[in-house]
Amino acid sequence: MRIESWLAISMVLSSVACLGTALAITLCWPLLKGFVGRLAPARQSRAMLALITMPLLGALAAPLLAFFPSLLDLFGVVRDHCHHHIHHAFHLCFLHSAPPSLPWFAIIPAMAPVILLTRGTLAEARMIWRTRALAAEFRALSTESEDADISILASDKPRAMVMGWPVGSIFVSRGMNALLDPAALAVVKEHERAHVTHRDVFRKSLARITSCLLFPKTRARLLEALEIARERVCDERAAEVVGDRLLVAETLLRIERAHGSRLPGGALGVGAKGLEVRVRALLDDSPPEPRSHGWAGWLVLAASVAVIIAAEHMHHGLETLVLSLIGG
Amino acid sequence: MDNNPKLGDLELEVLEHVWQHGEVDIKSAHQDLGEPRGITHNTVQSAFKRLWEKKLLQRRKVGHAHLYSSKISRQELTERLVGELIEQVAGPSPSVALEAFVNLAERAGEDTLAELEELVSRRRQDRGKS
Repeated sequence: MRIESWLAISMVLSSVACLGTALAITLCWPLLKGFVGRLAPARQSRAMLALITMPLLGALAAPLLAFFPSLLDLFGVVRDHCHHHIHHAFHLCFLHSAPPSLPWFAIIPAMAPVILLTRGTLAEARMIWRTRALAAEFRALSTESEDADISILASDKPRAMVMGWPVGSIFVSRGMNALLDPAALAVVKEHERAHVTHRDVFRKSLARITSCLLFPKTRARLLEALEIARERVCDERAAEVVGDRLLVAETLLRIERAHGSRLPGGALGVGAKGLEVRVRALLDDSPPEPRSHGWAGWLVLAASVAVIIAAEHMHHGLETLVLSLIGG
Repeated sequence: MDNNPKLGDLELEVLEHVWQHGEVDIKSAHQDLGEPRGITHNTVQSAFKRLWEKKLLQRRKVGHAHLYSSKISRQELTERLVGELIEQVAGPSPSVALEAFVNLAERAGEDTLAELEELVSRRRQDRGKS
């Protein structure tokens, strides 16, 4: 059985682009890590989000590039070039050509990105449902504080968190209030407020969905780096408000120490590793100045122009690729 | 027994009512909770019964009515929920989305923590001198 459909061809192209981008990110991450790590936290977070989203963008861009001339023709911008090389065996053109015939099993790997994204979206939807239910229970069990945006949790452990979706609510425990002096408590509150202002819960949901197209280990590493970057953004905001970077580091360590039940030896896991990175970053006397990255915008613009200029060559390249894939 | 029973809005309101009033009967709870919300006596009674079945309330019979009181404090229930939360955010695939000031599930090692405390303390002293 064979399938003749431009949609099937688009899906094959999308999956190849997705796989290629995911592979490129996996191979480049060891080199990129150092560069990204030196960026200011907000830029670092944006860079991580861009990296995480790239396989999805690749999957979306591949069929657009493949059918670029046909799309231009469809919208009446430029006449398609098909008639110039009508003697060719195959054209990526849904206006003037019939789709090539694919073996039915070729569609299975081609559906991988759709399946992965659907699975990731469903998993995230389940997470959001649980989060909202738990946040509602916490809100109902909390008492009001002198800060209108913060609820007090009836727990003796020092805990502070933002929970809820898409905009979280701030919960600070009685234990945290008892442990910290007002200045340190202000650090905690400002840090959590920064998470709310930046809609980090929502932002990370998007990252978890789009990152489904990465290889699992790379996905875990990039999400961990994003998590640490977001925490650092909020640490910097808290430091800016209280005017003392060391106080933020001291508060982090004081709370970590108060949790007890410590593991012997080195740091383990994301939380512990994140803590170390955050504290070391706060030891610098001045906040990390965002370097002048005005070029980043120009780079994106230049890349877009280059893609448009090269679109026709890419279209021909993709025609060759499809021909080689289907054995034409 | 389910250690972490899921609680609906009305159940949470009933619990709050019981925590505030100590021992309550369905009739007074319906007056305070049900009537303002346009909820029937039976609905309030069902919420009480579910909480009793979830072992969050206890009850004793006085005449024809039951008097309900809490079997768990606000703090105990909160700690249970936090326990559930920690289970759900632990590991590589958390099932709840949240932002915590310090990680809820994973603790730093003693060596790392001591080293960081030393570094911060030294920096504070240096700053004091300068």
